[in-house]
Amino acid sequence: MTPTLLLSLLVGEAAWAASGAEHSTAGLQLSAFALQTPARHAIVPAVGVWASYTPRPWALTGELTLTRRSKTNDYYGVNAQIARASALAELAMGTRPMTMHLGVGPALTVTSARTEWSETEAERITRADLGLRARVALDGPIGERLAWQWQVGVASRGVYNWDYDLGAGIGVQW
Amino acid sequence: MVIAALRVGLAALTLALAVGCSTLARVNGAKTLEPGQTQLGVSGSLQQGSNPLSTGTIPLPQGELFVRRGLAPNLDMGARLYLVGAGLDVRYRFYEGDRLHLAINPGYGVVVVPFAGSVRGSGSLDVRVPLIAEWELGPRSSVAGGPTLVMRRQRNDFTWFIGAEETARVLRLDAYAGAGVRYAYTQGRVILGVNADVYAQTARHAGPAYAIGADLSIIPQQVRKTPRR
Repeated sequence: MTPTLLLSLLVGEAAWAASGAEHSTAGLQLSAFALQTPARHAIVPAVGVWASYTPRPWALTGELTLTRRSKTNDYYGVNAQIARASALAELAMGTRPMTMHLGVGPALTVTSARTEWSETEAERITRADLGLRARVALDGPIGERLAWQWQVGVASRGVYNWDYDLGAGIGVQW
Repeated sequence: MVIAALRVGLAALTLALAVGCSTLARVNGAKTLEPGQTQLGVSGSLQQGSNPLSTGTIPLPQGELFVRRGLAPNLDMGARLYLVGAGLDVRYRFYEGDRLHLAINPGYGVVVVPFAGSVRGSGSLDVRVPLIAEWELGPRSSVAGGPTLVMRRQRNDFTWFIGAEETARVLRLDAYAGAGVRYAYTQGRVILGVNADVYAQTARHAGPAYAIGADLSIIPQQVRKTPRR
């Protein structure tokens, strides 16, 4: 059963628009990350790379994103580096060269945080959290070789910490 | 009669200003305008729980003017001007069937509320990502709905005096995940819609937020539909 036929059965109509040219994209992305902290979400900038293989109406996407968060007050200072890798299985559809991606998959977040209580007292803790990642994205070509991407996503660290992100990137397509 | 209507309008405006929340009501289906087409409309809604101040109170009114313009086949954009805020969005119909249409409608919205007294100012910046499915019930009517994620950066600036003036800024990110449905009836160039949306606020456990409303719009010029590829 072809993906297009399966989609036709799912939506009960001809999925003429869902099938399209197979393409791949990869690039660099800048994001605003909303990291869940004990009190609220803290917004920090992030940089990442993505790669997508898109045989419409499906796609596979891999992401690697890096960010950091610092906080200092009268009692302590925290400096954390955060790296997240995710792999997404996606529905990819479009009626134009622009493609809508709706994806979900596992995410691994590694956090290395150094906490200082005084000039002599400090501790570094590194931990890895498995979680779930979901995103909605749009991508499309810029000329023949370049590509753009815009996305909104959510990812969990474990069960109780849910981070959000909004990003845009530029890359290449082939 | 006119004075009474003005008083009601002033009361509604005051309530909306006091709450300072953007609209949660949906006024869009998934069918995009044809290139060159323009849609003009008005919308009114009652909403509750979309802001800490409106949680636990009576549903509060929100009104808006909106305009859309077809940019290209299956792609249009819109602007919304609502009480104390405004928004911009793009709608992309990524699937077009005989009766089923699917679209993504990402947009941004802002609210700015200047206050006197202990609150110096309040405002928010929204990012909204609705996924919309629209099913044509017949030549004149359709029902549309789907999930929406709203991420809202909320800002509140306070000033108080304890011996000397002190100020503080409270920033918070609210995430609303929800879904809504809209029924639209088209008569000629006029479209009448009614809508209902419900959102959960995952971070603050403040209970659901909802909006119920209606919209009336007109598409002044009919443009020949772009043939499907």
